[in-house]
Amino acid sequence: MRWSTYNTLFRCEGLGRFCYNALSSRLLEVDEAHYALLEGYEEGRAPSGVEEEGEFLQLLRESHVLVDEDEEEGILLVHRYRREEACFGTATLGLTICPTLRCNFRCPYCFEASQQDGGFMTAETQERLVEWVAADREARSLSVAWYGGEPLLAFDTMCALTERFLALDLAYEKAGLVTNGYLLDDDKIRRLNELRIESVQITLDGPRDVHDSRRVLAGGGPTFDRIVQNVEALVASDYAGACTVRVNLDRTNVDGFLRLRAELLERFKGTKLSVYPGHVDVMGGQAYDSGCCLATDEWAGFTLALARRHWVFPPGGFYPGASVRGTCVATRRQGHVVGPDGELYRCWDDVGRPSMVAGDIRAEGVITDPVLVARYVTGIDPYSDPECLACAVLPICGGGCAHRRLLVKYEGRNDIDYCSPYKTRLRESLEAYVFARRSRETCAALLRPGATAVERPAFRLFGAVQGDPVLAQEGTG
Amino acid sequence: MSAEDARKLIERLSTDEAFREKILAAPDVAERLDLAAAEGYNVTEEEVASASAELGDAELDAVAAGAWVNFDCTECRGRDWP
Repeated sequence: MRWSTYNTLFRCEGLGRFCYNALSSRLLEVDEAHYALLEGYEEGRAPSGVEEEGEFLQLLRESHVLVDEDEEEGILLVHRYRREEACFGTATLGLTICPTLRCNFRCPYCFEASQQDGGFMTAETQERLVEWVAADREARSLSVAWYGGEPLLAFDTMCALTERFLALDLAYEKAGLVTNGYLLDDDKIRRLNELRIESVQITLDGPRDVHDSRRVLAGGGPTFDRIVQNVEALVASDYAGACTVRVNLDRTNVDGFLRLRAELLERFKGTKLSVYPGHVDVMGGQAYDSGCCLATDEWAGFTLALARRHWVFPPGGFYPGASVRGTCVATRRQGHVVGPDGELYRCWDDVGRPSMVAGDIRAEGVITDPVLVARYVTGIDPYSDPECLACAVLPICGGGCAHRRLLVKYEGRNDIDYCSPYKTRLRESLEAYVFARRSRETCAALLRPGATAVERPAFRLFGAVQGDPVLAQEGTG
Repeated sequence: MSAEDARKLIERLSTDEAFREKILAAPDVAERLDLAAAEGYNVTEEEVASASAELGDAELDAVAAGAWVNFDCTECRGRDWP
């Protein structure tokens, strides 16, 4: 029995002492005496008196803080198995549909190559798309993301396809909409519920002066005021889903984030609107100077500073866990990005790039570039990468971004960093999580009459993930 | 009174054990906030609740853990969709 290489033992000033294990994604809180025991294990000596701590020892074993010689290899294998299970699962068909690649905006960093041209999805292509979905005998449910170009330029197509999908013999699980918000008028807002759209994500680039200097109409002209008016109409409507504003940030506008967030949260106080920072990270190919982008670690530092200094927490928080499968639409067999001509891509970042077309719903067998599909699903598997296998955060990072891994491995783009910020920022992430959770506990005690203390037992599971997510996960079908 | 004061109060309560015990020794919320005001934190119950909400949701943590750095919705957003 030895100290796991996936442990992070740390003190958090004023907040306690903790031990995190990346294999189990469990976080343990311990008192000073138990912290000293853990320090002993970390230094390679079995502390005396630990025999009397049977319950504590059991917790350490269950959390893989202490492991037998082959245990880590076995758990990593389970992680790999779960990833593959997710990649090759067939139960849910996840489609990102771009009914057009046209856009009414001209944003400097847009990664899509075809925003100037291209048409709309024809009735014939829509028909073929529905036939293709209907012919999938393994899928039991369908999930759709509406994307583009600007999808609201093709709102009629969204409505027509949704109607057809709802009539199919598979569960229409959910839909989401990513839009610039400019065309989201009252008529469209009224129809969002019937379109089963559970989330609307609208992008802004900062306060009015900043946004209007970047996000201009195709023919020129500002867009901020109209977008915010549409947000106002959306949050005041009977729309039942979530509404988020993603603020696209790079070096040139990052300072405006807090000002915009404060303005929006004040203006839409009491509504369900959430505002979060979005990382603009282009990888070349457009006029935009990619030097404007914040590097991955800089972005992580910015996000952590927002939490520490301003209590702005990202969606999902900072806890490193649960994403053990490390898959996305690009790496799942049943994930496809459908272009307006029926062409299929693997990743949202590939849209509009002819060299990245992996299939065509009009073609025999649909997949036209099986090598590209295999590269995304199997070729970039981090569990086949010796560098990843030697990395202490592999169980929680899932190998980082699939698209970036592909560019590095198969296109020689060694200037791109695909690693997760956990590689360099794990402890800071844990500290941010501990701060948020501890503060929530404190608030709850403060506002609960009669509560006299915040519970601080000798040791306990502290993280959001209370089980062993690796071993307990059910298959995905 | 301000949201900033509420954050500072919560931060001190979370990290200063003696201060926490002193404030929580009062039986009801109003008395606790009076004690906090005497220490320079002029906040209302609503402001504390609002500041607490800024810290995120424990349930959400459990569901979407690690989203910020796992190239999830904040990066490529492609993971939002199974």
